[in-house]
Amino acid sequence: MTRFLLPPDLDESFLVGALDPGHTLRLGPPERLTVTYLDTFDWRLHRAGLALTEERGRRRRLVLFQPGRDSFVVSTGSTPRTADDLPQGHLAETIGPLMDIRALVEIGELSVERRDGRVENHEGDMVARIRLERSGARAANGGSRSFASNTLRSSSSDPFNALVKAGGVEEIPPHDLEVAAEAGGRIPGGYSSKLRIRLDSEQTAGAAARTILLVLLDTVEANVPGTIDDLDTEFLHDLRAACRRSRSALTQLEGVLPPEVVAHFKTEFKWLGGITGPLRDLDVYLLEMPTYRSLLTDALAGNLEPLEKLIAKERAIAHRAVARALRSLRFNRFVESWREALENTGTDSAPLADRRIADLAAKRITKAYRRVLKRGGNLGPEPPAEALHRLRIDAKKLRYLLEFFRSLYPKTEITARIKELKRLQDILGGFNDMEVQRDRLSGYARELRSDRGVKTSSILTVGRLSGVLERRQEDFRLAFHDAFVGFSGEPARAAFGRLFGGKGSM
Amino acid sequence: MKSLAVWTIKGGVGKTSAAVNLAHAAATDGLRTLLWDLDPQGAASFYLRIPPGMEGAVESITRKRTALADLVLPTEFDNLTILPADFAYRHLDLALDATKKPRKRFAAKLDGLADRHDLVILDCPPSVSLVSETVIKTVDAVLIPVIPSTLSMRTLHQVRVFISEQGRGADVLPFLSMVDLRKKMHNELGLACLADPAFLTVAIPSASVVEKMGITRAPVAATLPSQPAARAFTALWREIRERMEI
Repeated sequence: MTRFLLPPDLDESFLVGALDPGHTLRLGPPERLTVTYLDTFDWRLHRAGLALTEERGRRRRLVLFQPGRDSFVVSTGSTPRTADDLPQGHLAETIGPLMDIRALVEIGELSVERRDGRVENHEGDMVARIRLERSGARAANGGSRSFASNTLRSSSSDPFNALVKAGGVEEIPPHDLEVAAEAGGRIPGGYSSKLRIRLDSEQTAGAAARTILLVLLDTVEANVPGTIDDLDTEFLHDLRAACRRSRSALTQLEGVLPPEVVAHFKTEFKWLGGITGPLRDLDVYLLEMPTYRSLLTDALAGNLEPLEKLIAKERAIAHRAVARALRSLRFNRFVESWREALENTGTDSAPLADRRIADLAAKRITKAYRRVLKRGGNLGPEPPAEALHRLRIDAKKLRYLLEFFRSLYPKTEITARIKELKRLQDILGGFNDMEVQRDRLSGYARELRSDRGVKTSSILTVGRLSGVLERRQEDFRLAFHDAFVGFSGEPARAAFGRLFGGKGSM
Repeated sequence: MKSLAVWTIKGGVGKTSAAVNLAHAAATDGLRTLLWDLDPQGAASFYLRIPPGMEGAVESITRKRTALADLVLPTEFDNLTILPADFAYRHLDLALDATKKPRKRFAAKLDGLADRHDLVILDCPPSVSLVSETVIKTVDAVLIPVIPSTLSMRTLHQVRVFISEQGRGADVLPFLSMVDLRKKMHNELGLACLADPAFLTVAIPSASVVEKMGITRAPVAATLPSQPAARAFTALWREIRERMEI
């Protein structure tokens, strides 16, 4: 369907007059609808070139707009939140994998008055399917109407050739995502879980640090409402990642910001990390549940139900605690004063604040890189858990630095280095996850044992699961050696040295 | 993508109205549905207000390089598209016969539609011909309208024999069409049919709203959704969906 923007005062009678000769306009009765645009918080549908709306009028329907295709329409009983809520079929197959674990959130709402119909030729055959719509949006603050449009959709522009030629109409995109987003106070594509920081190599270290930390603060704040409302688990995940990165930046950019500022806010970030940790652990458990089941035989997988119930119960309690913390005076003061401190561009009373960021970045990255090489190089073929844990932390610090400063380096080069590091991190992370999860499982097994209602078979299954995880952990341990050789080999070191100027070899 | 042919060798038994109304029901149900009007009379196209006649209609089926998908047209309804009939389809038998492996070619053509459709409903010409033979050998299921009359039952038997002779296990789904419960024979034969487990259990009543489709030129559910015939087509579609596991 091609869509045209009509002049605001143009009505059906004008359109009838504008039709090419031999054509008749047939219109059905008008219908009033509320059209809500939906996407994940990080715009996964928009990024894939899609748009999804929920129409509420005489019927409740979901409409998927796909580039170069007819829009797809399906009835729905309620607004879908998760991929599992989507009606089976084309919609679920198309957007389900994109959404993955993210929920759909409301982007913005339009009110629409619609008339469907067709243009017929003199034999009553359909020449074009058409839809006339007048849409309006209300501003996010509930203020006055911020947008109103008068549009015509047509499966063929043929009957309207005269109108198009006269220049009275303008072809526009098939949907109003931009307008709805504006009404909802959002910008399409405006949020991403990926760190997007633009630095200038001539910037001072002080200015660069503030830019990085402000981007991270924006991420923290953007994810607060979704975490409190518990829309999906990624809000908390992103909030915590930004929190960890901020802490890491404060430590690793030592000497760039005033020490008293660093000390105070590091404490606050530590608090925030601590208060949100238990909820995240429980989220990971619930997200892992399907994997756990797949690791056990069907008969045993059924025994995991008491465990799942126990975790869900604990999770509800943990979520309440997090929501309370995010609404607390302490948190609100913290983010407010943190923003104030970052936006205060007065002279920094820190020794390295005026250094050129490109120099400092290369130096700090090289330092972190060497630490990883050294610690990793000291490990034998079957390293102990504690040593791998410390190496994981070092690798993470290096990763954060590479990501903070990636805009200072040639894209393909820095991306390749991050990829090499990520491969190593995946193994270290996998090993650690197994360690943490096994630890927690034995705790849960104890809790389940104390509950008389829980069958012994369930407790034994948790034990069995722990054994499976131990074997997986062992696989990670064995994979570590090769991964580290790849990461620390001569070609990788030379590439690192070329990029960051330091001597790659130790 | 699943494919369903509506076919019988007897005319006037509600074949085309079933094809159109079921396609509309499937589209409403959230399936990207294509109605392929293979009957040169073009009644299905007419019902949906689509003028018959497509440049290269026959070639799009018989020639490897011509894309069938390019000829698909929108209808007035969401999720429902159409490949309109063309009078040249009357020569489709000869054209298919001239291709090396008609069934393989036809299957490849059908596959070419899978990217954009979940279901194709084919309104086949009411005859035993190479076209119907090819379609029946290719599709997932064949839907057969049966009026509860002696002749119709006899036809069903012939059709079943024909399909089984093709040696391919397409599901055969007969259903009762144009049933008039005021007629004693319809009652008796209808009951006899429903004793056959292959029969779909939903029967389509004989109704003036269906006959009037020639005037309204729209599926019954689009104009008179609360009419018994409209409800029957929706129910029949649901039953087919279940049987075909769509």
